[in-house]
Amino acid sequence: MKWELSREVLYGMEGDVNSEREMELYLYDQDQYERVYVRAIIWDSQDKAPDEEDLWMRDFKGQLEEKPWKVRIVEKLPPPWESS
Amino acid sequence: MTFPHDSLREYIDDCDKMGEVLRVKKEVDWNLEAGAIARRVAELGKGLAVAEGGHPLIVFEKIKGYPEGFRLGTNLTSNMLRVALLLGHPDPANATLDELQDVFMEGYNNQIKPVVVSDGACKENKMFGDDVNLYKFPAPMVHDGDGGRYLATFHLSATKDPDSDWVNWGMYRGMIHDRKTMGMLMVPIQNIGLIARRYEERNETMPIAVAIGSDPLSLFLAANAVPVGCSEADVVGGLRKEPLKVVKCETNDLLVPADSEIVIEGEVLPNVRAMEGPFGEFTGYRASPRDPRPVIMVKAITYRNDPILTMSCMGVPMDDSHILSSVVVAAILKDLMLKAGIPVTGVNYVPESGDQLLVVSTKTPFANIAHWIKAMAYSVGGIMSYIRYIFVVNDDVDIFNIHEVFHAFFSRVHPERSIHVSHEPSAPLIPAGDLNERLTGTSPVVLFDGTWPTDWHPFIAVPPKSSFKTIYPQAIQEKVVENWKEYGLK
Repeated sequence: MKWELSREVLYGMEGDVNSEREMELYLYDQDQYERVYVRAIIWDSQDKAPDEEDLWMRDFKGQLEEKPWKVRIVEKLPPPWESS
Repeated sequence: MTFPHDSLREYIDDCDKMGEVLRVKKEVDWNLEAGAIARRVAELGKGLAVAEGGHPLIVFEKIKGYPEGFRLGTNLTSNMLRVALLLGHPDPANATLDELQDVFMEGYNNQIKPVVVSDGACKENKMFGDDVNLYKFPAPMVHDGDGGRYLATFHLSATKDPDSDWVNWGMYRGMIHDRKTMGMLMVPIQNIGLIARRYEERNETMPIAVAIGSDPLSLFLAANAVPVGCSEADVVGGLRKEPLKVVKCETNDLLVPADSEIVIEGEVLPNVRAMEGPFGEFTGYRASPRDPRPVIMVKAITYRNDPILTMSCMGVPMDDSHILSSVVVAAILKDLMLKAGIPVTGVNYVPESGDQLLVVSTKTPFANIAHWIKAMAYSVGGIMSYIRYIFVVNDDVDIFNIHEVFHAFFSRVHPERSIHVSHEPSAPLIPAGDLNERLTGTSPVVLFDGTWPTDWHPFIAVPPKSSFKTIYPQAIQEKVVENWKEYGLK
């Protein structure tokens, strides 16, 4: 599965990237663009976690960036309105 | 030709008879390809009829990854001829904007309530509960960088005011979050925002129905803004000169056009938000940031066999939304001003401006009438949420001729005396607004008062316009016109 994430979603969590800390966020699968809420660890380059899944980033203008990041999905979460 | 059209399919067939339809057999991808085609068609078409060099309405008949029959229809109303056709104008090929305003006002002033029928084509297939899957339909990723796949871009969202019988049908963009939820842009100062707020203040769930690919008059009304309390379905009846057939939803009491292609039924939970957007909008920009917005929990979907999902790929003018809006908003404002005693002679919600410029021509029986016009316009609330520029001119300017408007602007707007900035509520899509203004809906408004000052002497201070029709004696004009071909001119 290829995943996609917009940089805006990371706002306020930038310090957790590359830290191996788990983050709660939402991704899209690139096959049909379904939103998935997850607890995940992310890295900002392929070299830092080569065995993990690709995470394609969209910049603040909505453009896909050239190289993917990496993501390990620890757990899929219910949407926020179901968990509250 | 058929009028009124009971379904989108009847309308497309009529457009086909006028040479205005292209059915694309080649497979296209819902992921950007269909949007890119629609966008290029809109930009190359320039709002012209096909016979005048414009581009057609398109039905994509094979969508990648979807079964035969699941179609995508786009550019449905992106020229004046097609809008005239859906409005029942007797001569669609030669209809003008001001004529269409008159057609609209006749229906608006003679509203007829819809009639409820027991069944409709939209009930041919049904999905409930866990079977609900919004990905059943080829919802496009319309523009690169959109916040998701937009299932609802040319549709009507039906909601009912909890305090009255008022039912609002509006075209508010709807993005798929997952199989069973959609996000929707509900701008607080627009009608759906007002209704949603009333439910939320009571901590109540708001029922909603999203009807996609309905009859063209219902879509036409939904794409436009009418005053608070006015039910679009009643205006549709007025335009049809007979009631519109509607059916009740499966899971709530809302009524939708019976022959809609797809109907999504759901509810909006109070105070639940999820990130929605951005989306390339009719202003020609993707200006509204991703932001927490209401969520529709989908309870049921009904749809026709071989459904046509309708799409509007909005962007720089001219596309569907620009031409639709130019009729209704202008007509309602003109009517309002005339009833208030303001002697306006024309109102043009200029399509080429991306729905941001209103031009009004008027007689000037007293000073500062432009300010009164602006005040009257903003008194209608949400209708004006996108209009940031108002240009008022004397009635000698043909405000439907963009060249005359352009010339009048630069010849009559005094840089110090004529420009007035104020702050009115706005929608979040205003490109010129800074980020905070877009998020808070506070982008400013400019009034350009291009009327000659009333204390200027008309023969001394007001400069005579140097045009064929104004600076030559009538006899010379007639002679020149009469001999035109003899001069060797066409």
